[in-house]
Amino acid sequence: MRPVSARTRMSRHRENSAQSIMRIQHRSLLPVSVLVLGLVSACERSRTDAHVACSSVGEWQVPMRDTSTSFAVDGSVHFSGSGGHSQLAATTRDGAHEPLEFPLRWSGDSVYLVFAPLGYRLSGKCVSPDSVTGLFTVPQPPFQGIKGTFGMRRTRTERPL
Amino acid sequence: MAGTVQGLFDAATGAGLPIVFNNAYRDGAQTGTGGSPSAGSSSQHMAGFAFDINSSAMNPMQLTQFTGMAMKAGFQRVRGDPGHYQVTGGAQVAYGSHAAGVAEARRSYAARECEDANVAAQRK
Repeated sequence: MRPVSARTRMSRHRENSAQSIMRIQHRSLLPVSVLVLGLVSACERSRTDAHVACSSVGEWQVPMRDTSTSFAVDGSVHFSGSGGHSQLAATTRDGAHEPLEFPLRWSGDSVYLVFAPLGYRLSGKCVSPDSVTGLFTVPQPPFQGIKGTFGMRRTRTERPL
Repeated sequence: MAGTVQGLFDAATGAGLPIVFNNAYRDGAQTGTGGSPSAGSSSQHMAGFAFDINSSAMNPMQLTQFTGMAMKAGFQRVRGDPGHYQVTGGAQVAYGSHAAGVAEARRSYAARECEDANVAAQRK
């Protein structure tokens, strides 16, 4: 908005002092409001930059660990435009290996994976475009479920043929 | 134990539970079945007193149902090992010590008096 000089304003209009004060206050507020908007925008940009996004497509290595029970899962998950699939194996402290090959889905802006009838659940966030960290749970009735941490690292951007 | 496990397997299958046996007896020298490596020295698998199923193939309600059936048959679960079931009290209850149970299991397996429950289940 083009600033209006006080002399021009007084020569064109006969305004009461209250109106003049209001206009001056309004114009004074304008740069302040722009500054506030700028700060808000900067904060938005900062929050956006802090929220790293990563697409799901590709092959990811997924180590999962519960150190309290020595329960571990290793292997990979693959995502394409049509969905995902796990090629994992669970290992227990007793040395048993159980294959975990199931379809899975990636939900939401944060990383949320659910697979297997038993209900493996991984919930995390992207820390870089090609890596994710978070927590996982596995039900084990009648006990409390297994809980641990996982990391995902993208090793391929496209699923190998 | 093989007969008890087979009976449990048949009952679970009859109840519509998607039971998949992973392995049962395995010792330090055996590469294992179902892709599993050898068991630890204190494992009930070495004495033939434990079996594993693919627990991920069942939802929590089905797993709870199977666990109830297994407990009635004399098995218990172990926290942190989702697919593992072992005879309550272990081999020491039947043989006086874990080592005695392991020795008997090795003798019996070598003499072909029994076979891995996983192998038998896969034949059916």
